Amino acid sequence: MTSPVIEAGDDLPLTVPALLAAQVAARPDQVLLAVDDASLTYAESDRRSAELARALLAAGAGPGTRVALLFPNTPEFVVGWLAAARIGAVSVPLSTFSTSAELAGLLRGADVAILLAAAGYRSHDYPTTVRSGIRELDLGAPPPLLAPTVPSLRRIAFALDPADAAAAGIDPAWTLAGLRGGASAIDDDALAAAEAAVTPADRMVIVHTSGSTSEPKGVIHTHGALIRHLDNLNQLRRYESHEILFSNSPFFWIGGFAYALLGTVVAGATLVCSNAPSAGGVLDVLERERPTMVNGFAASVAHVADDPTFPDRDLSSIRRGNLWPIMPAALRPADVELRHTMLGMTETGSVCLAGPPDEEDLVLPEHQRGSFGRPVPGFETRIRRAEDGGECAPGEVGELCLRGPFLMDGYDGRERHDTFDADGWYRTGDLATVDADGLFYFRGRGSDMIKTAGANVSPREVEAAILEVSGLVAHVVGVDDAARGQIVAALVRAPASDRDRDRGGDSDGDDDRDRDRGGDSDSGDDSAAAVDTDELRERLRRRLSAYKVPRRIRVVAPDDVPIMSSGKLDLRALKELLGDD
Amino acid sequence: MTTERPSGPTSDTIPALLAERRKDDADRRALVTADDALTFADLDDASAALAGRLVAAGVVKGDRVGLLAPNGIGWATTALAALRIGAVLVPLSTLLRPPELLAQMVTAAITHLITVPEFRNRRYLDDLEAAAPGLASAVGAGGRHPAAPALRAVWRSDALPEPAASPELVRAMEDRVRPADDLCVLFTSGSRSAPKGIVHTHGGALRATAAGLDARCVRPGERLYIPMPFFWTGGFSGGLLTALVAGATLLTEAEPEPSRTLDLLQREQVTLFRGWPDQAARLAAHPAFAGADLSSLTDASLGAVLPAHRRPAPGARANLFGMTESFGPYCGDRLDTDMPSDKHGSCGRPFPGVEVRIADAESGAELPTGEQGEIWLRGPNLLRGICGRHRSDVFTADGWYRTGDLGRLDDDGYLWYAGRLDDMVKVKGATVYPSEVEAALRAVDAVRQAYVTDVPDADGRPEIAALVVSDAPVEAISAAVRERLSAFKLPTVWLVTTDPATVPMLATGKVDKRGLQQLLRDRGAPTPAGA
Repeated sequence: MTSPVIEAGDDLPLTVPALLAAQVAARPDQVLLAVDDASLTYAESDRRSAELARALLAAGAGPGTRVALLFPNTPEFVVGWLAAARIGAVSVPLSTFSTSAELAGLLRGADVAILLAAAGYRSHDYPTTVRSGIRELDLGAPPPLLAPTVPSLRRIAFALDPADAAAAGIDPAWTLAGLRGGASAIDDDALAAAEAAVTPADRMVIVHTSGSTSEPKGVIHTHGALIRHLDNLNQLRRYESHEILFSNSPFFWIGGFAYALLGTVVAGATLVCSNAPSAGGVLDVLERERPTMVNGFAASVAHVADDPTFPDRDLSSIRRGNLWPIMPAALRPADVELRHTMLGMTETGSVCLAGPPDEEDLVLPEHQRGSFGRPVPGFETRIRRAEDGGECAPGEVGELCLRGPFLMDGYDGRERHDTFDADGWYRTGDLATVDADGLFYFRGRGSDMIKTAGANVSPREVEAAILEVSGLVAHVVGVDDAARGQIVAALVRAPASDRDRDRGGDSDGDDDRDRDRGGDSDSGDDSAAAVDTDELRERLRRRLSAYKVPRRIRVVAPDDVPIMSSGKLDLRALKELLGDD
Repeated sequence: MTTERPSGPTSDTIPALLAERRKDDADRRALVTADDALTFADLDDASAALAGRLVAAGVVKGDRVGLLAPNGIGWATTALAALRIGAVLVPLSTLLRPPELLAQMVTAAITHLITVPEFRNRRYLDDLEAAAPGLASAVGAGGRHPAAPALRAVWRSDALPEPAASPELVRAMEDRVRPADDLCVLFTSGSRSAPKGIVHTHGGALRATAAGLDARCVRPGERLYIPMPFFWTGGFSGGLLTALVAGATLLTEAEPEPSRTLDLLQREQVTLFRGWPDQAARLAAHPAFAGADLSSLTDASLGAVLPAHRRPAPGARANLFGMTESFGPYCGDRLDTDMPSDKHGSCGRPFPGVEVRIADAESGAELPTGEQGEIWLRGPNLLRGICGRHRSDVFTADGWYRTGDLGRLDDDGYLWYAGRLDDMVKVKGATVYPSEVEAALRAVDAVRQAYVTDVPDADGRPEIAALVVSDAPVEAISAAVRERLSAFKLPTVWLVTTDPATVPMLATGKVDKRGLQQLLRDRGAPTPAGA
């Protein structure tokens, strides 16, 4: 049974420590997470997180302590999250894409006290990345850190072998092994008492999302609300303990954290991920682990379906899900728009609108094309008319507003009345309609947030970064893109020049394989050409996560920036200027 | 001298507020005791220095610092040290019995406990040891103890760790404190439930304090005496934070004693005396009071300490009504001015930042103006939440907090209090509010004080019982009140006494309801025949 309230009087454990204990008792040897060559059973997750939880207690953590997690989808992330949650500490997952400046900003902005981090991932070497973000950090000296840059941060633990750390001039106390060494100071009774003291109302996690300002927003969810919500969603998607779910949504964003990871623990099921850099590696994992369900953002697996070995691979285990490119041909809908889609957001702990479970395979009638289904249990909705704040009639476009016990507890550091209206409604910024049958349709973003390949990007943040690294004023928008939904594009105002030229320069990202715009950017020695877009992009890469760096940059003379007679930026003309032409 | 300055929440965090006082009122005295005083600059310096020591000893933002001490400069300095670096203050009552102390430490997840070694013959470390043997020594050795697993340190207030973090680090931590961050957990005892840990934010608490200044007539430079403990809302919001927000001087004592209090008030030329009315009455009853010069007091002071000709008529000044959840009063009217005569007995009007609705307690429907129902509150100055309870359990979906108080709003927006919802008694199917019966009894000339509750009759059904302090016989009182109340509301069990000490009181200054019920069961008598 789904429940629209947190406390339903059933036997669902409403804290992570209680939930973990129940799953370990029920299925100790079942795999919780399989990632490439690593895996973690429920019993292992219990044992490892208990040791780390005791170590966190010894390091001074407890209820409310902010513990940041900087890992890709690995057992270390899961163990770190479970350990923090068992003692009532609040997990703060951090994006592995983060640059030094972004990491320092997140650690400071979320008042993180303890950072647990991988040694590195992809091109990142995290000790180096973290050190260049926190100038006071001396990894050669033992903790604690006492740094005005990140004034709450006391301890960092990298997943480094202590011997390797020592060889690199890093004091072993800055390693996970060094942190775990403190566990012996805390006995089992103290850990058990700490777990028993966690209440369903306590905060479990802060997930960051881009907002309308240049600073990312930390979205707070509590144990009880998020667990109940995922239990409801599991019932809607029929996610049960015998299922094996493949998802490559990163654990540091809500889809991966809640819909994939927490949902798996609530179901007592098995989650499969792959961080393999090659499509072949991902396919190896899929063939070996034989997932029954797949979920995530289709673009994250598009390259997998393009692999030359793909047609010969056996992916017949997959029965349900939304990663159409890798699903057996017979399951792929002829027209994706004639299936219910889901709407999720960080603030709603993943999914808030979805089709009913018995309509999963239903081909919708044409008049329901593009349906997002209905509000999931526990969510109240209204469509707010922009002009007067009133209620929209069926079919009338307005802003989707949400309310209910599973909605976020709030944004970290923002007062409630700055986030919710007096009646408790959260305005999502998304435009929607509802039809006479109560089905919802997404009609675009009311805010200017860019959604690219499953990630949210704030134009303000990118504009601020361009100004910071180049001194140039830019206007950043999302332009439509077949593969990614949208891409980040920037119109940069050329610096003032003596000569007025009417030609601009433009360039596409060199990693944008789909397009080659050729010689457009050799526009002579005018002011526009004085901006080296490759160099600008390179500088932005040091400042911004790769997915936020504009894939398309066009430089124009100030006079060519499309301004309306009102003096405001003409967004439509801007998008046309930056769009596919 | 006091000066006129618009009162308002110019700073909405403790560190910002301390900086504001330092800038505007550096040399004004913030706190004065019988034998000590410190200016706002001193308070800033002392709390910053102590903050550095707390940081060096491992306190970070969000940690819960429990403070167990009587009123005084030490309490204020320690509390502000913790608050300015973003730690959450958990004031603990010096009256708590050992098991209560431990329960509150667990509920609020106290990480660091700071306690005076001894107060009024209580040795709190011994109390702690009695409640949880081995707790202090376990955390002293760097471990944790199952009885209070969040606890990391227990410090005597006179022996806090000495090493200090750099002022730069302290300032950086202060810069991180935001209005949305938690300020404190205050415990309030429900009359029939375990104490609740009420969580307030910096922004909400400081706005709530500022919103009441005008009605309470607290101006910059005011010399305020309010003998309420800092560990409850009245002393914390109404005393310490009021002084900080208003730029006023707070006169305070660890243990009020009438002759010493009179010396302090005269010496400091107190301008405003607030607190519980019986505190003022007790002082006025002291033999030394008649000879004391308290001519500096303004009209907003409690009536008992004012000269007879300046004393307001009963009910003429608003009953500043509030609760821990609203961080002090949420409605009122200027205390130096009589309300219009038709508003006497009311609680005045809601302060800015608080919306009041009267709702049907059962259906939740909003009631028409003038009808009596449960008082609901909402707005940005109220509690953020309650320890261990879901927001959706504490507030209605549209953001209202159900106070459990009964009242009505009149056409002019004045709030009239009518008692506690859970005190409502059903007598033979009819609803009786003991507070209404008390009010009727108190209006009888010969009655000095009256307390009404319910006791079970021979069949276990509730009946109305009254304890009355009066020289008049029960027959006369019963006859007089019959003029004012419907028959079904009349007490049927009586105890009339001439001795005020008969009334069972709690240490909080409130009547002990259980003691009252016991007393009336044991010694109450039926209404005399023919009365």
